[in-house]
Amino acid sequence: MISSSAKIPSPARRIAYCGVFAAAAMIVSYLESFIPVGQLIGVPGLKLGLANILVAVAYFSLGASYAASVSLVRIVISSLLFGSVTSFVFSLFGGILSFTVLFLLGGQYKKSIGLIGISVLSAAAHNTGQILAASLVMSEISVFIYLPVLLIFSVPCGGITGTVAEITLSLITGSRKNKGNG
Amino acid sequence: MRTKKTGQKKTVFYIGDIISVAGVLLLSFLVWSLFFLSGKGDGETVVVIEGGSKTVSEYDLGHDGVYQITSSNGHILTLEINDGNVSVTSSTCDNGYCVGMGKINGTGETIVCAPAKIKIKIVSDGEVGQNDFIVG
Repeated sequence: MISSSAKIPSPARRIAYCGVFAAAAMIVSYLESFIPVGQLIGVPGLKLGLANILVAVAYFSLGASYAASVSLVRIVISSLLFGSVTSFVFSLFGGILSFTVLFLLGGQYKKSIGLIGISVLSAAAHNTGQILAASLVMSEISVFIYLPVLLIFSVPCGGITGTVAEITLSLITGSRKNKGNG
Repeated sequence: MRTKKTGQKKTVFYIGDIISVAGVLLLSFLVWSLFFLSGKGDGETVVVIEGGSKTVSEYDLGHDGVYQITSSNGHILTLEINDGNVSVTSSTCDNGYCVGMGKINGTGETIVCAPAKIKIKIVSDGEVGQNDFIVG
């Protein structure tokens, strides 16, 4: 993580990349609203969480603080453009918990865990965060009844996002190596 | 720890990946078990609709019917009781989790619609009026 981050020379370039990642994350989360995964498998509201690909790639190519800002910018702007106060609270809780997982396990990346494992746990944390937000909004603990099914689906969803993130990251770091200092 | 190799030095799966998947599935099972066990009960059952923490209306599970529930914030849910099964057949809320929950029929089982702030719960007759739902 640190070695790949060090290959990007200036903070200005990192911030520029950060903007690109945030924009891509927004586009991806907008596009995934057209993929009715939830309706297809009978869990409406379930999403693939494709934006997490960008957050994970930003984390391992730019650094933790840049990835956090990519996630935050996406949540704030998406909620302002397409969502509501409720969806903002839901996304924020999910975003904070999934980023915490990324932050805690980031150091173990390519040592004992790959992006698939990290993404599965991130997705699980994201869903838990959303359910937590729902239980706080409603002051009702029984919304946790949704958690088991959401946790099960976080395995395939996290698997897909983790695989795509791994490929994207290897392409980015690969092209950077080819160009020397990128 | 590398468990599988493709090509020169690319590693696909790590031990942590397998532990993560197993852990998430186990957690899912544990949460489900908590709800399942806490929902065990005997006696006649009724359906209670709650907005926030108060009981809005009650329906006898033994009587089939279709009911319209309007939430305090304007969402309209269609509740169907059919042969002891309770389901939300339509809702004006935007995420539709409540419709996706399908049918419930056991004591303690719930359907929740977060946007409408409505909870539909099957309780035994003795529990009517109690709002406690203890998990773990």
